[in-house]
Amino acid sequence: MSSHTSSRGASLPRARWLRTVAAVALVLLIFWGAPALAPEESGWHLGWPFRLFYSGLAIAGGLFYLLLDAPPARFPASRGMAMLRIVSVYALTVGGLTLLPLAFPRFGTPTTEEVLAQASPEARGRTLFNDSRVGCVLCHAVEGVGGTRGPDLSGIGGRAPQRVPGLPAGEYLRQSIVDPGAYLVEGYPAIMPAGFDRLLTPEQLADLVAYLESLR
Amino acid sequence: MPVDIPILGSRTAVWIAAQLHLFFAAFVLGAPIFIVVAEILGMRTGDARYERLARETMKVVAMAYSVTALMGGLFAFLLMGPYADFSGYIVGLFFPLISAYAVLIVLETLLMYAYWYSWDALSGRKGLHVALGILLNLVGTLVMVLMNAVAAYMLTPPEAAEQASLWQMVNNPSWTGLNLHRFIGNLTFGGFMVALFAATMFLTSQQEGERAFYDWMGFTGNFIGVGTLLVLPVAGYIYAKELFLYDASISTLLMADKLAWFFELQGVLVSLLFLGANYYMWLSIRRISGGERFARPMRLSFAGMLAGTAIWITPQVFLPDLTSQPGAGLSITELALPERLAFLGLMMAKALAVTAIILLTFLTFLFYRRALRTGRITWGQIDPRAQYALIFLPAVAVYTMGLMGAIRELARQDFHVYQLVRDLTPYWYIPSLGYVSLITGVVTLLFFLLMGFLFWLGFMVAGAKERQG
Repeated sequence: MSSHTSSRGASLPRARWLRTVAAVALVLLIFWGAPALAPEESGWHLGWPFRLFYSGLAIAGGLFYLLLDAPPARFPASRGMAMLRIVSVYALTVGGLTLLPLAFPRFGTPTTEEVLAQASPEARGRTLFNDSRVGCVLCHAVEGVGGTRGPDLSGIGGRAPQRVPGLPAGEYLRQSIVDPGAYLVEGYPAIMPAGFDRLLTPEQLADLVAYLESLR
Repeated sequence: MPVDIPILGSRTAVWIAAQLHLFFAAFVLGAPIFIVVAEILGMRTGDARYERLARETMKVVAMAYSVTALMGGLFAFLLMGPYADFSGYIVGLFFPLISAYAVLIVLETLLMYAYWYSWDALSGRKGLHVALGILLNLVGTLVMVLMNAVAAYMLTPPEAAEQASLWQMVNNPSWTGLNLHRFIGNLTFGGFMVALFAATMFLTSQQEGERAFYDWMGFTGNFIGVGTLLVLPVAGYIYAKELFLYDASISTLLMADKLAWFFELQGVLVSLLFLGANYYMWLSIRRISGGERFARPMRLSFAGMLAGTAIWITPQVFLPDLTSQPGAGLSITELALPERLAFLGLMMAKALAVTAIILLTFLTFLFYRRALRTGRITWGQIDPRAQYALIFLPAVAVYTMGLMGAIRELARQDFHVYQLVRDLTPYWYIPSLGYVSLITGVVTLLFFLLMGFLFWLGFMVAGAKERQG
């Protein structure tokens, strides 16, 4: 019978401990030994990531069984010790859960720049457009979001090819960004500052143009 | 003009405030349901422990209520800056509903304080006090379903949303599923929070009588938590089915693409909840005279649960999304399940595994009931590890809730309102599982710190003064 007054010294029954370890060892042996017997064409061959995955589960399962048979814990000696244990159990649980997905190298935390590097040029351009440090969105609206001091750019990708005869849409948009005074839209004053070719890298400028071209 | 919040970024700041608000809201909405049930049980059975459980839990609810409002205010405040346009759009769209919500919040607050502060005054008229509690729960549930309508609308707006009536926007395709899932989830959450409170009080109590009560209270909290956890996957399935019927590509995103590994983690978390709850039952049954005879079948049952967990969380392929390719030195045959075991990655196998875990947990309850019928239990005499299990469970439950909330929000992808209003902020993309896990972990710890502070104020400081008095 377990109780909080039981001695911590009561050892884990040796036979059970050995049985658990033997069961885990058997599972590991099957996972790492069987592939040699099951070639890939058999349809049973587990790749090493799966073997590693199931091995981890087998070890965790074994630890769970060891926990089942572990001797009773000692009651905290003081209220302070009790609080320390309570906080530790909670914090370690949350910490463990937080680290679990981080343990997969492919699922680590990428920076915004890393995420954007994998995105399409249009997606990168959209981020630049909406980035307040670049400032496009402060004066230009797209689909109802953004400033009104400059022309509304909703659907600009569709209008740009007709703006200057003979000038491709991409080139028109690029020039409008680096040289804002080149082609003014009627009804809007020439207030857009120059210098975006210095603020943005050529790649960023291309991304921004790609985004604007995609607005149809 | 869009503004950003330094260091954290707008999305993460809003995320933290919203999630903290929802954690507290889940507790103050879920706990009063079984508080009233406990009060009724106390009336019917004459067992004073039910009354005390109801009262002590309600004290925590009353304290947590103001923090819920505070976090709600912070959430609204943060929305007003970076998401001002979108907030205005949503308020405009749901103005009658949001007005009703505001009125109901005031009514709920009045009812909550009336219920709490009239406990002694209405001790002679218990029926009236219980009626107040029932009314509180009705209003609370109404508040929840109103706000669920907005959250559900953002993911599943009705067809031809521009011409939709208010009711069509409210009764959107995933509203029922979200209501059901949150209602049961709040009960699970509330049960585990009661268990956390009881375990804290048990471990810090110096008197045998107090320990006996908190031991029983922890058992009851775990019973509520696990009892409702048994049906939660069914509610989750209904919700997921609604999403699938609305737009099958959302299901692909959730189960096979960018959010698939989020669900891997969810499988681990829910399995941990079941295993932790059963571990608590294992320790609990051993202190019942004659309870040892159930050790063997329970050990077998645990083996079944572990096998079920292994099947549940078996991925189809070790790639983060549909478009990723194997890295250097890796081949798809190594990363994907082999042909003859491919069924382990399918929903049918997962559903069977979850069902097995649920049935085995139910079996543990049957063992426990049988042990209680034939043996004698001494409350207060339990291995402290059982109490640590009751602390472990809420930690996992809170984290799970945070992760699931993030998944639901991220399912909208780069839309504020799916397929209707685009997210044009720099935070439109789905962040990595690692980042989501980090933020969820931080919020889970913050919630614990705030709850701990309330426990400390209400029960340690005030309790010590009461004892001195």
